Amino acid sequence: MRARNKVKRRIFLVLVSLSTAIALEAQQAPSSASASKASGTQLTDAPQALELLARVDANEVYDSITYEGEMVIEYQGKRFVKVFKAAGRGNTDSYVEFLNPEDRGTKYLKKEGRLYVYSPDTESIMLISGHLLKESMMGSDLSYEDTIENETLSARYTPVLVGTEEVRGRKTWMLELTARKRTESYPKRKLWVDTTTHEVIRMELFALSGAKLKEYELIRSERIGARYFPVEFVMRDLLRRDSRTIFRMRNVVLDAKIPDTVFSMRNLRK
Amino acid sequence: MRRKGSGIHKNVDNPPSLGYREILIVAFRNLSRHRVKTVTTTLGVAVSVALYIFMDAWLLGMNLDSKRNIVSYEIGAAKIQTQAYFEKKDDLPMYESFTDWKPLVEVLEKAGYAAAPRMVFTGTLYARSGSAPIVFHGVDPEKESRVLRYRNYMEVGRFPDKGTYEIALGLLAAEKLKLDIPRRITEEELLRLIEDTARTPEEGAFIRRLYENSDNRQKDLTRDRAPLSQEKLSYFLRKDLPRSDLDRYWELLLSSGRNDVRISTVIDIKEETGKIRHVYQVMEAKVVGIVNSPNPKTNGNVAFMPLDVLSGEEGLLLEDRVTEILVRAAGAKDSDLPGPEETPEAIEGVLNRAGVPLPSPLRVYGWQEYVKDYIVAARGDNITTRVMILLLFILSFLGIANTMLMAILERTKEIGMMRALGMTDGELILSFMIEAGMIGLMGGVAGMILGSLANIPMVNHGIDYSTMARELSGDFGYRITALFRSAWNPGTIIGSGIVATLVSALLSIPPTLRALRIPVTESLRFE
Amino acid sequence: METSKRLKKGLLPEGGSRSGLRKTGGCVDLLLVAYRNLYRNKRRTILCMVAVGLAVFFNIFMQSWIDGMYTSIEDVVQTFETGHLQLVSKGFEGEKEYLPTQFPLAEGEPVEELVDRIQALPRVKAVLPRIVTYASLFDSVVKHGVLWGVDIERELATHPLNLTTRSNGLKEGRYPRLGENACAVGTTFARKTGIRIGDRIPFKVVSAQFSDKFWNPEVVGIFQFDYRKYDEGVILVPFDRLQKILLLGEGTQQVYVYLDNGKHAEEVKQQIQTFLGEGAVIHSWTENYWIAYLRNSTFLYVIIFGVFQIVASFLIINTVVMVIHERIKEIGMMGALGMTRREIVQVFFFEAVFLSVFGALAGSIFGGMVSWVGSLFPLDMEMFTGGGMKEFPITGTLILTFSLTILGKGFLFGVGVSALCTLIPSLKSAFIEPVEALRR
Repeated sequence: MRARNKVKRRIFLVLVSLSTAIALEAQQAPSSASASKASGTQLTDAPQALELLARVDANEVYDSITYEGEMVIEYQGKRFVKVFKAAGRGNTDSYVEFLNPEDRGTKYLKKEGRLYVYSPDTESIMLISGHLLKESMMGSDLSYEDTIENETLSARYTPVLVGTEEVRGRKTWMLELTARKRTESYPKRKLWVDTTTHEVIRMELFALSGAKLKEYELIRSERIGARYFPVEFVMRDLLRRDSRTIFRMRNVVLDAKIPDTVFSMRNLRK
Repeated sequence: MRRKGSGIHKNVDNPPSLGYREILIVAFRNLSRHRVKTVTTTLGVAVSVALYIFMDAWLLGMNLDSKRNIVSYEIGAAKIQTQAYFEKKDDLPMYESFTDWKPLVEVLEKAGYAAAPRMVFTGTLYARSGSAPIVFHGVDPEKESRVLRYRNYMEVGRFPDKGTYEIALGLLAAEKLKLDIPRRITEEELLRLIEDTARTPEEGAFIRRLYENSDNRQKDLTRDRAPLSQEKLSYFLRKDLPRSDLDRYWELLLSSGRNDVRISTVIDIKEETGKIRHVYQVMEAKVVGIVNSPNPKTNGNVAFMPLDVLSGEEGLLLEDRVTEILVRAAGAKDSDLPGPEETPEAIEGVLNRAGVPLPSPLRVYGWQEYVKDYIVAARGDNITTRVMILLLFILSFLGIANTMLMAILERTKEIGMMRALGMTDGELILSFMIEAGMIGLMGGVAGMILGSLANIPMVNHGIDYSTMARELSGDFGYRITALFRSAWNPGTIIGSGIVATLVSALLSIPPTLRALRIPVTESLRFE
Repeated sequence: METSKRLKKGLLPEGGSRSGLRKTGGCVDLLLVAYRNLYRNKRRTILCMVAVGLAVFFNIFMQSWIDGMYTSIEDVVQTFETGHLQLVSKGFEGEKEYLPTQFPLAEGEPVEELVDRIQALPRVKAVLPRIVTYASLFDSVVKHGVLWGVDIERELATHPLNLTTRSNGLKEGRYPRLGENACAVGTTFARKTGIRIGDRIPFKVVSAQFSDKFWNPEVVGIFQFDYRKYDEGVILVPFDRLQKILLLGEGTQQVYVYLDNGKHAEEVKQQIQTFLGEGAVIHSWTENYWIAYLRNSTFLYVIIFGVFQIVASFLIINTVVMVIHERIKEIGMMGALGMTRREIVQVFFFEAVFLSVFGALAGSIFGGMVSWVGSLFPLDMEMFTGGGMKEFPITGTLILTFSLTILGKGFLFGVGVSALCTLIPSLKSAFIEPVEALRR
């Protein structure tokens, strides 16, 4: 169940990321950044790395989510703002609709393992499939296919606890993650996990050679129910100069009932 | 009269009929009798034939040039690839690779071929000044240079060494990313460059000396590509620099870290399930050389680097996988297109006989397969050059015909005299035909030799005409390497000799016939 | 005595005597003599004229061929790749390999105002805004295409898109109108993808706002340009529609400027640069790599042309030298009749000039006709061979250039070469003692 829910969340965030090559990695962050106290006692002593990672994973448990999102892409001195609303439910269903004037009306729907897009320019629903799913965007970023991950960090990586460090005044455990399979997109990751809330305060993503590719940094999280939910964070692509993407979520509602009509083709066309 | 007698006096003894031997002798004697005319006419034929042979080889060379370019700089004679790769070759699918190439290469090398394994992948090259999408070629530097020739055209620097993260980059990409030796530079840039590069004042002065003020180059300015006309273009790299200075400068630039780059790529790996996974990779590398070969494809957004460093985690996780093996006959001449021993069938045959048949997904594809779309196979070769050759043929052999026509018209009087002395028409025609044919033959042979001699350097070495082209049409901003080679065409060489002989011989007939129609008395008075 | 009669007729002007010849200064008379000499031996005259004519014809043919080839390649580059001037923004220039759309030219200024401003400059013939960017195609054999956003009516009013047929290049259907949700593709593209008129091509593009945009215009036309690269990979769409989809507002990614003559590119470039300022990068067509490549290859053709010239000159020299050599005796006779050496030389020279002028004239007329016909009906054939370089803007067509300059050059070549090579032997012959010459 836990894995299933995670899938769902990933997917709609993937949809979000479709709109920008830079922000493609954004979904990685919340997936591991969710914090929850629900999972049990606070870790005060040095925990087992595996256990700590499991808690990071565990933070992601929820059945559904709705929120309003904003993405600010800063690149080469230009600033692009995307506003959207998103909803996700179960393993297969997710929906994203863009609201900013430039992209208004562009909607994505993930349903039964298929990815549809509605564009006001085409006035029709198109199925994204085949090579387009495999395609890496703008030369160097993730492909759509890559982003449809459905396993937890614990399943994909072997963690090693390397110490503690203070990050912006917060005490964190440092975890080094090494991919279990050699086909993992980021063979290495480094996580800074808040010792009390288990939020991921910072994350670094590495290429196979060990070169740092991307940085995630938590700006702000909100306490939603028992969770510390990251609602504002920033991603940096280190290969691109002067490039960063800020991701903000508002009105996050977790585990509420979402009507079926949201995830229907009719909603996509509307 | 006295002089002329020597040629024909024999006839008088034996007037009724002449044997072929006599006619032959008459013809020969006539040749030596009119020595000056024989020599000039022969020379005329020889020049025509030689020029024709030379031009034919030239045009054939032009015709073959682009094909040779593909063979010598891009493909070789054939590629061994997986069928899946070949079908998707436009996408450069690095996941459709194969291992176990070493035994294949070994067998081919033993059987007299040169074989070069390669891994082709796409990525982005990040330099200090920007980035560019690049097609990278992981190559075995030694094996590669046995198959392809671009290595001989390093604009500056050297080819990467085995076991290093060194890159040879195409000139246009290098210029765009400012990894080339700066040819034009503003004063400010020059000062910064010296500051960054020179470790001692002496080195600073050295670099400064390599540049000259734009005043000296004012007239070239309009031709140059100015990014912005307002920009002050103050300094130019001197044109007359010795290679050693450039090499030293290049070394200084390299050691300043200016050419340190990063290669960002996504490694595509096919899982057992057939699913393609993507792994991010970033490699630190150094651009140590710049390629500028006669084939523009090697000079664009293309890079070459050693294959061996790509095998591990620091590279592309290749574990000996490659995407292709290039094959060419060892020691094949650059001027030749691949021969019968270089066809896919022949190469497969060699592998089969050696007991190392190609594993099932692998195939040998001839070089033509890769350029199918661009070379219209049905048309064979270039019609343009054929038309030109035809025109040249007409011109050349009209020249020969004209010469012969004139030479014989002039001798109407002589024909009259010979008839008066009792030679029959047939004998006369034959003797003139032989005479003319001899001239044609001598001229033809001389022309064949002359033309072939002129062809030898043109075929074997060719000419690098880039500087001449620059003289002709000015500096156009790009440094283009232009090597041209002619091509042997044995058919033409032999054929033109034969045609010269035949044309000469046949063309002696009409004027002789004309002379024969004139009454003997009249023709004796003809001048 | 027929021969001597002919001689007299030719050598002496009617009713003229030696002294008469002297008195009249001779030039006109000598010309007359030379002209009459042409008729004395018609066969020889015709032979000479044919030789000169042929040489001139080939000269003209080669010139118009090489010129036609160059012009056609330059035309292709100018039409599709560079215009005479190509205007882009500095941001675009830095990333041009990716054909980005987020760097509009002269940001903030509506494209039509920009066009009007440039149009007002002297020498400017047409100003065409264009957008060129990559598209990722949905499920297709061809995975990527290049969107070519143009105002097709303005384009066609400026230049033909198929330079071989001098037509709009349409094979089937029509071009999409402005604002229409439609596109046209090349024949090769259509063949590869199996797309037909009436089908839709779905694809994705990245907008100026860095977002993915999806579009599936209907194919209303299939074109065949004589530029392989475009035939194979271009999807032609209406400029304004693409502008809207890419969120460019009133702006454009590029502007192509066409002048009355490409020679003035540099001069107009300076003018435009001054009012567009630092933010814009202007490329003149001469900066195109393929133009440079082509200019570089000029050398090969210069050599070919040179050899043709040598062979053709050889033909002329050969003929003329023979003719003169044949007539040394005549020289003796002329001398015996009292003509001075100078006059003899003049007669021979004039005769050669007549021969070459008439021959060259015939050759020019013939060559002019052929090149004129060739310029009207280009022959489709593979030139330069495809060379595995689809980027190379070749037309694969033999287009001959018809130009009076070329005809003039060919004519002068013929007259010049033959007159020159007559001068030497006729000078030489004039120094032979008449008595000696007569005995030959």
